[in-house]
Amino acid sequence: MASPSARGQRGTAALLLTPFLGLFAAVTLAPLFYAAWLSLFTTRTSGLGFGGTENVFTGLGNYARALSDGAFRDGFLVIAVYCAVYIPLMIGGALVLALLLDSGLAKARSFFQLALFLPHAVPGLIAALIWVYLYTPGLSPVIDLLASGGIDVNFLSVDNAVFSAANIAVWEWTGYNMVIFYAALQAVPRETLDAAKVDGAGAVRTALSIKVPMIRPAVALAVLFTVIGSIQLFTEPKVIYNASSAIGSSFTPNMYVQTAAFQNNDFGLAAAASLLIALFAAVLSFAVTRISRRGSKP
Amino acid sequence: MLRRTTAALAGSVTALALLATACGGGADQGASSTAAKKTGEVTFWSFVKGSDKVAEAFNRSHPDIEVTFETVPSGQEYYSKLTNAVKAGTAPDVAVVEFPHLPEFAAQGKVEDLTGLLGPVVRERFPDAARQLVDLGGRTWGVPRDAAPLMMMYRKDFFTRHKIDVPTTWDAYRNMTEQVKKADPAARGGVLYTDNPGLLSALSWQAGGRWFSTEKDSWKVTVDDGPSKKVAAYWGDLARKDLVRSLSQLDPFWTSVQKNRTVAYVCASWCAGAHQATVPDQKGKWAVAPVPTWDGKPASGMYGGSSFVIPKGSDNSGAAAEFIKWITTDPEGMKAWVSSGTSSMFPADPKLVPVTKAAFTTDYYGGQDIYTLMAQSYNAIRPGWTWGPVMGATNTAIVDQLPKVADGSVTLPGVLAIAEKATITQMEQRGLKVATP
Amino acid sequence: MTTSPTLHPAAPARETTPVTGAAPRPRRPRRAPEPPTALLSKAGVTALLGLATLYTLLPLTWLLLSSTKSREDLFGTNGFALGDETHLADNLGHLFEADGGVYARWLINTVLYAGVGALLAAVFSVAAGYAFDKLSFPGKERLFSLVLLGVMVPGTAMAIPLYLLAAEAGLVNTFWGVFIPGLVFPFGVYLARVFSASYVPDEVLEAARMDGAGEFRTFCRIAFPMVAPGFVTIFLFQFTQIWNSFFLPLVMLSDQDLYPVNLGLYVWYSSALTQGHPEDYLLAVVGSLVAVAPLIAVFLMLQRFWKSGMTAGAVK
Repeated sequence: MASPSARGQRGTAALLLTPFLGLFAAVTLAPLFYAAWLSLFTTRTSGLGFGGTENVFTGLGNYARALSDGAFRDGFLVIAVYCAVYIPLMIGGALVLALLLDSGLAKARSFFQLALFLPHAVPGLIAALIWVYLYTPGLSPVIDLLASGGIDVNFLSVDNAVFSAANIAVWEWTGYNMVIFYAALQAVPRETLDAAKVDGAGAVRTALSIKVPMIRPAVALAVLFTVIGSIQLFTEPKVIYNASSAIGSSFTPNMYVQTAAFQNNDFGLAAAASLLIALFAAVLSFAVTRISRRGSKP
Repeated sequence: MLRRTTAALAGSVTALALLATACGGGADQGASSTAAKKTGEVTFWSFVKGSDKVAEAFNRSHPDIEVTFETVPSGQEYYSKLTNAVKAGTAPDVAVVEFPHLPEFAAQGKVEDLTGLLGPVVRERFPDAARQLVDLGGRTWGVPRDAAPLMMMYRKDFFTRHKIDVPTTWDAYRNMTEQVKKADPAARGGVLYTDNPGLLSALSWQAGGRWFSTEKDSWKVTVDDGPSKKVAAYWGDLARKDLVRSLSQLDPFWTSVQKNRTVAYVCASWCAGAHQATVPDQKGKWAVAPVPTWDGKPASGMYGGSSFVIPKGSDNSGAAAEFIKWITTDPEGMKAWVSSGTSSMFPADPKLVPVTKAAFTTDYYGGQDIYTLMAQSYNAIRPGWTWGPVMGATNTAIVDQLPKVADGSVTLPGVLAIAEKATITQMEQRGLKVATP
Repeated sequence: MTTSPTLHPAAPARETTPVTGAAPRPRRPRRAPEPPTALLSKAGVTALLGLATLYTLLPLTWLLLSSTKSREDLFGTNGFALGDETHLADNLGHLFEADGGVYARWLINTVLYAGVGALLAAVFSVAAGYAFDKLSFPGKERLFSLVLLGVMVPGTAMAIPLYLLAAEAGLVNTFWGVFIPGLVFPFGVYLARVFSASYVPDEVLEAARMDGAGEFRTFCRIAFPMVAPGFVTIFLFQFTQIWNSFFLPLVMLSDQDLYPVNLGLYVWYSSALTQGHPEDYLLAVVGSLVAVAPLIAVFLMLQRFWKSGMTAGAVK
């Protein structure tokens, strides 16, 4: 490539990247580094405590405290189970729905898109009200309905808590990812599909052997971000925290962070735990990326 | 357009990045309070209904001071917000803090010591029952607004129809819950909240328990002392036997009341107003009774109640103190609080009871004189109760376990032991001195 | 850590995309060419989608029905049944009168935070995503990984350091304290890179470069219109995210007049049942229903762009 062109690309890249990267540095990286700095300190007081507090440097003390806390470590096991349930269901569901919408066989496509996306638009507060209502024995019409069919379930029990949380997440996020996949399907060229038709490929085969491989990047991206999002799982279990005997204040690592930051004002610990979560996410997403790359090679 | 935005943004980015390095330590720094000038602007954070009216009324009668009221959410989020605001130096001049949270704020150095400014007022106007909650370590940290003495709410119509007596002792209360369940299998005579530890602590307090106390320069933590364990065993048993319902105190609880499934429950003075507002169509069916006791003699504790503080870093503490004094001890101030006529709050300053009593009509309760009942309960509050210095952690530890009580995976006295352990761990983490019992 | 997982879509997409001057693409056939199996018939597909829709919409009927109820009925009747009387009009009236009509103010604030914020965020994301996809510059992949790093730290916990920094900058309790953080949407950059790769064929850019068009001009005039469906998607996602953001406004704002809807509703809700003014609980429910309406409007508006995006590949 000619060098003026390369220089032009560099200059334009700088121009196009500056707004995002500048803001990103200010509102994401700066707080991140600040949090990393704060994670090296802890607040101490003495006696009855009424003499005030001071910030004490503890080095990696907060990290050691988080790692040696069984409550924090157990959260990662919860996440593992949660991911195993949630990711296949949600991504699979979103993909199927997007393919159905794109199949040319669906009526009222616009309506379905909206209806499937809508849960994502509902304020978290209301989602909480709705699902606590649906999960609470003695109130829930769903439980009554199942009971009349001879099925007794307690959505809030120890065995079911992860699934109940995953269900709320599936409800909220399937439509979101479906929108991504549907948008990606729009870019699949007409001619390729026509060629497949000429070859006598049916709708299912077209979907599986042409459309899915072509939107693979979008799917892999969705999986990657879903994994990262799952590691930060917070909202869904928090919704049923007060009602479920299975969910404590440090059920997931991110709930542990919230408790440290917002209940105990122990920001050093919260920051250290956040960065450990980030580290875990980094390692995992590296693995996910590797696997999806290897998978994409024939 | 894009270019100009870019330049502007780049500027602010650099500024922020510089700040990030400059403000590294993040130490708590609050400007020490200035002289007692009683003029100027005062910002005021509260989630208590009527706060806007109080600020307006104060501004009308105090032309030299301009109070700006800001609504904040209630609950743990609020306390976290206030703590961070003090840390960042953006805290208001006056803020509401519920009694259980006050020691934690004081022990983190987040509120001004009010001993000099308002100590005399607190000493003069408030009985021990309220004063013990704001005076800690020999200093005054807040001024009480409302007390919340325990009461019992019950469905008079249900009790009459099924010939159930109103219990005055906890033994009788247990019988009552059995009778209620027998009379209507869907109904219960009480609740064990799954998300609020406040009632459990209030009942421990009433039984003579003392979760926290101070001795010279150290805290004593006895969350599972004898009386508290007795209370926990009693309620845990009722919940296990399904004689009281294990429920969230929010919509599920009110749904159960509305659907005639909860026909009696223990609550506090403020509940009378909350109850009639939430379940208006059960007018005339409910009555208020004194809270049952263990030995039949009057005894009580507090479930709720709030105080006002000056957060650390306020630059107008003189005017702030004037405002606090007015809204907690002045009849006009009290009148403003209850001007909507829907609040049954019980003022911590006994002299102001006539004001609130006059504002709250008790038609809903068939004209019952509930303020006299409240006053009796207030006078019967046990002395010697202090809230703890890490109440957020204590409460979290309890709430984590509460939903497990009804299904038997943990006992309620066991919950107290867990909470005590979590509390001590957190206190030691912060460097507080914990006395060995 | 070099994570650029998915940036190169399958090759055929580029090779076969019509570049210039192609005839309008034929519409997809209305019927599958071979005899469809039961599930793949029109009715079957629609039935499957209908089933999924039931799952997403049924819980929401609670919100719709609750908004029409009186306070007594809200707690006294089945959440999925109508109340005894319809109070929707009353409830809406109360909603817009409460606290001196502050709800309308919250709505306007949120439209500014979310509407303008998401628009800028989407522009910045698409610009950055395009640069990452199509332009070559040193340190590209490392920079791209850095963006991912920012996403890996749990966001809610970052609200506190962000708040402390904003306090130093004097942005606490101002419009900017909530608005500026909304301009950054790292996931949008990732999406934009994928969309740029699949919607903008390299041949188009090469042709433009041959014609001597500047890189920036090429982006504005040629590439940007092509990624319109992606742009719309990113806008929608960030719009919803800002619309429903909670922790940041919570710590950042104390002036009620600056609140976004979501925080305002929380203020009503949080004290309604614990502080004994249940009328605010009903306001929070009705307010949530009304707050969903603008999101629906945005969604419907954006759907038109998606549709037009279907032919974007053929645009000259």
